[in-house]
Amino acid sequence: MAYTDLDNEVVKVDAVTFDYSNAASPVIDQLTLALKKSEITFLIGPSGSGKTTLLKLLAGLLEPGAGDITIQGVSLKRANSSERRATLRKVAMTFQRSGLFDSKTVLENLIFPLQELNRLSFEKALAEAEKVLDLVELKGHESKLPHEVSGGMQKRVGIGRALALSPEVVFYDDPTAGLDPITSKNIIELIIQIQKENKTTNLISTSDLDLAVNISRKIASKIAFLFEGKILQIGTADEILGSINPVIHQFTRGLLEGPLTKGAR
Amino acid sequence: MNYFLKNRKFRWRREETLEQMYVLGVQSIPIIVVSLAFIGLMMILELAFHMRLVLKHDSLVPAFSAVLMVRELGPVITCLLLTSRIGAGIAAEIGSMKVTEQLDALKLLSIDPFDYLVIPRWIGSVFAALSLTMISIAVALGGGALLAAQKLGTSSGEYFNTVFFFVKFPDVLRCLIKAFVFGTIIPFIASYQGFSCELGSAAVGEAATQAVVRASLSIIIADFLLTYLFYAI
Ligand SMILES: Nc1ncnc2c1ncn2[C@@H]1O[C@H](COP(=O)(O)OP(=O)(O)O)[C@@H](O)[C@H]1O
Ligand SMILES: [Mg+2]
Repeated sequence: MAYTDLDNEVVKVDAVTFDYSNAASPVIDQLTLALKKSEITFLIGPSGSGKTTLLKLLAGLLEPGAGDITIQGVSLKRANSSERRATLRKVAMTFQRSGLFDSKTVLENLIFPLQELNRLSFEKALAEAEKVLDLVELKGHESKLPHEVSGGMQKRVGIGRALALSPEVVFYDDPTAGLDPITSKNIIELIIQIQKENKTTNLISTSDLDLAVNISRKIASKIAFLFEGKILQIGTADEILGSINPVIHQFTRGLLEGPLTKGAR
Repeated sequence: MNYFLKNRKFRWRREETLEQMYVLGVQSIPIIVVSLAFIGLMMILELAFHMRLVLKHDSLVPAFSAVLMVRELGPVITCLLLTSRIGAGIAAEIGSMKVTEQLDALKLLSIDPFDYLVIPRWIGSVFAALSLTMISIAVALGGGALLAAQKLGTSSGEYFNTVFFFVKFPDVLRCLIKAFVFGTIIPFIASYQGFSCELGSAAVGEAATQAVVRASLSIIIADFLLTYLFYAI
């Protein structure tokens, strides 16, 4: 079955289970989720709930132990290797711990994917990279190494690198991790503004509840709540805030007593 | 296996390879040349002492020291020093690339970390092992000639005559085979330690330590096996 634009669900996760070889219980447990075309969804959950693992599964960096992931109608399990490559080619991801090539400058980090994947000549890649540099507002920092720029700028380099290849689906793994609230807000707003222009399908993981709630109210996006490898609930910010699920209730209120902390005490 | 081969498009990485040849080879020259020069000198003194004691003369000192240098100390000490200089570096670099998700980023760009990271380091390390072994043997012999002229009264003409009489071409070839094998052991063990590094910065240190320990041990054992293969039968 060919994928058409009428198929609204760009990313489908069907009963996916995953565990790292050494883990006792699965990190992702029979998880089912769908992302609609050109929508932004927030993935929220306490740290260790499996957000990073889920995004890496979706980006094809990890293989599900069971279940299947379908991207633009192509099942990653059933696709042959060239179909799989062509599909994942439209998917980009930013990494929680930056994933920037630390021996390459900011500009080289942007040029590298263009040369590697798009096989552009240096001149063409440079011209593309300059555009991206503008987009993520990093003009003037192109010849610095990643560790020479601030945390917020590093995130922007990562976003730029992900967007350089004009992906259709973008996964942002905790793009505000370790940033102050103002820089966090700037980064999220940059992501939202870019999404408005190029209409990509986005999944943004974060453990910052306030930010996710504020932004998703503003742009009417959904929040999916992940806990112990399962999506407990998916809904609007207010549905999540008003949830009667005891885990979500504890998380959104920041309570010390409850199922989230039962193991910790 | 078929699947593996069919889907592999090896890409030659000229830039990365040249960089590694420089970092692993050229930058290791000072420490290795200085160390081997002193070892060459020490050997002349030691052999002279023992030969005078047992044989009552020292005319064979240059020959013995050269043979020992070419067969054993040249490749082994060079590559052990190389291990401590580059083995830790390779493991720590790849380990921290894993911890900071750079390996994931490579994979996302469909770049095979083996082609991109291991092959250039392998070529760089073999290049370093071969050339540094040759350079350091030359330096050790040169230093030996000077010291022999000073302490033993052997002219450098005589010195090199005896050296070339006793060191045969097969010895040099075997020396190069050893250097090639050791130069291969270092990057493969070090990269393996890097790729299997746990997450966290303490783990990166541990990967580096393990790389040096395991590569050194492997080189010493491989040297014994090669010497056994070459000379004991
Ligand atoms: N490479 C790994 N090897 C083993 N366990 C891991 C690895 N990465 C993550 N985990 C474990 O999987 C669980 C989920 O981790 P992660 O996906 O990083 O969660 P989150 O991004 O929500 O903080 C955690 O318990 C974590 O310890
Ligand atoms: Mg995470």
